[in-house]
Amino acid sequence: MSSAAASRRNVRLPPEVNRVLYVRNLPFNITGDEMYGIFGKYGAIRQIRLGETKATKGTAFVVYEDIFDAKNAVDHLSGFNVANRYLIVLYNQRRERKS
Amino acid sequence: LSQESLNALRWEKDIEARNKPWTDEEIDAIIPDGYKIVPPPESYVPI
Repeated sequence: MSSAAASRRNVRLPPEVNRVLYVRNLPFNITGDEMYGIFGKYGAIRQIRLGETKATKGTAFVVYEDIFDAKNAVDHLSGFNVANRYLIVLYNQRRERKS
Repeated sequence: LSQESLNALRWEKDIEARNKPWTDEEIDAIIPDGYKIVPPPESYVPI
C-alpha cells in the first residue's frame, strides 16, 4: 500500500461519507464512457448505473471500490461543468432496502 | 497502547468495515429501480 494510503488510514471519516455517489444534473445524452472518463480519474470504479426512466433520467449512481476515492471525487467534482451543466455529486443517503 | 493509537486502531477498523469488497447483492439493495448498469469501456483501466 503506498505511503499515502497508509498515512490516510488513521484519518476519521464522517458517517455520511460512503462509496456510493448520487449524481444529478447530468446531460440526458451522457454516455457510459463519458461517465467513466469523469469519475474514473478519482479511483477504481466498482459500478456505474445511469437513470433510464422519465423519473431517473439525468441522474446516476457511481460506486467506488475505496471510500477515500469516493470522498476525493465528491470534493473535486461538485460543480464540475459537463455540457454547460453543473454536476451535483452527493453521498448516497438511501437506506438499504433489504431488511 | 496510548489513547491516540487506540483511536487510530478503532478508526482503521471502522474504515476497513466501510471499505470491504462489494457484492452485487449489496449494490442491488442500495440502488433504486430505474437505473441500468453501464458497462465499462474496453480501455477502462482502474487506477
